Amino acid sequence: MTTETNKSLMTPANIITGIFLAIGLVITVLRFTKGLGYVTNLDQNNPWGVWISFDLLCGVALAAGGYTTSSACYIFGMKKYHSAVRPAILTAFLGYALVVFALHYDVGRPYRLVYPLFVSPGTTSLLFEVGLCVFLYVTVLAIEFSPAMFEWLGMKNLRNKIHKLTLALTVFGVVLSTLHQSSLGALYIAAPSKIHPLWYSPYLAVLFFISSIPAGLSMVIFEGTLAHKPWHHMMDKTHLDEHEGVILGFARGASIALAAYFCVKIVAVGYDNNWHYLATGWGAWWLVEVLGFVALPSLLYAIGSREKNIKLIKWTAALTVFGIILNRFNVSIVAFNYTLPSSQRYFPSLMEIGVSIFVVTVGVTAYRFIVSRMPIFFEHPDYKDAH
Amino acid sequence: MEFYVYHDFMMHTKNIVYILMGLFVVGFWGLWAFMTSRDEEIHKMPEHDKE
Repeated sequence: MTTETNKSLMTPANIITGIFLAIGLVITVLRFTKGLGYVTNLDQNNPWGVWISFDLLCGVALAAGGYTTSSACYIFGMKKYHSAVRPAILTAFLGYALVVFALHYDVGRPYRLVYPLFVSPGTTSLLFEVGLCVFLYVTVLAIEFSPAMFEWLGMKNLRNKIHKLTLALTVFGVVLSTLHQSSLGALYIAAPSKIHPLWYSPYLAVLFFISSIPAGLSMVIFEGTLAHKPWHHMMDKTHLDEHEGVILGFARGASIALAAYFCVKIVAVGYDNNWHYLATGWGAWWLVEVLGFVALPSLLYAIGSREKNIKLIKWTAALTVFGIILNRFNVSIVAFNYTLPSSQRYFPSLMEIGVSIFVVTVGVTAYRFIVSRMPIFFEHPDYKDAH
Repeated sequence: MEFYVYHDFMMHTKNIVYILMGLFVVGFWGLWAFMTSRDEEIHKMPEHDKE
């Protein structure tokens, strides 16, 4: 296996990355010198914008691959998915770290981000629970990821000590994920008059949690597909041999989870007797989301899993990832404040979008740096069969 | 459909949801049967044909 360090740095990918990072740094300076009002379109009606919708809600949902993959492998004993655990943990760790990073842009006084945890905890607030869970889960993911770093650095003792905690960390991670994935949905239960009835439901917490499962599984397939070509040389025989089995198994799990999510979405409409809204423009948009990005991917995953059609599954993973992003945007922006006149509706500014692109670019850059050096797609020669 | 008291509303929506849940159970069985039908065909095949 070779590393990327020998190659020239002036590749097209690096140049694009450099441009995005440079633009992001300029906006960062503007955000922290001139304030939120200068770079965002946020106002009193819309205090949460694209940074919450994309960086936080989508970031947390799409990072769910960490707890789904590790629980499949270590709790349910499906060792055939072991090669997918490290890439999934890495994606989850970077995803959550970037959620915290992006939050520094969004809160008015980022230097007080720790106040709710250590200075004045509001234990009755859902935001407190989300904050505490994310804080703890980032810590858990950092510890879960650390063996790969210690193997790379040759710190055997520390690596072996932390490796013994794997099962406990996995259980802790599942508990924390269940709590905060659902609590992010529960945050919006506090706004029944602001969210369109088709998207508002007392089951929002359940919907957010269930949808995080196919989101995580699809993200593992999607990210694995994207990584397969550029880092093929970093993947060992075990990883390559297990790759197809991971995709087929995860497709089956995602199909069932999406079907369950579809059922709860329909039950949520029935429970509040909101059927009549389906005949409106909002209903048409809701049907696009639920039929096009929940029911259809569930069916396509089932067909792909049945026919062993890897290409179909990979495209379906992309469709599902897009569907989850669409759902989070619908709940937090599109169907939020739906009664306001269009002049008062929120649309993100270019600089807000720029920061989101910057955050994603930071994540991709960190991912590239790590997988090019650490044993993510291969087992370190000193620890072969140590699992 | 008009509801005069909350009890009527709950009776109506709960009834609909119970019917939906029955349909979903059948739907889940169908999805699982569809997804795994080829697995059974592979299991039924003689050993030398499985490859």
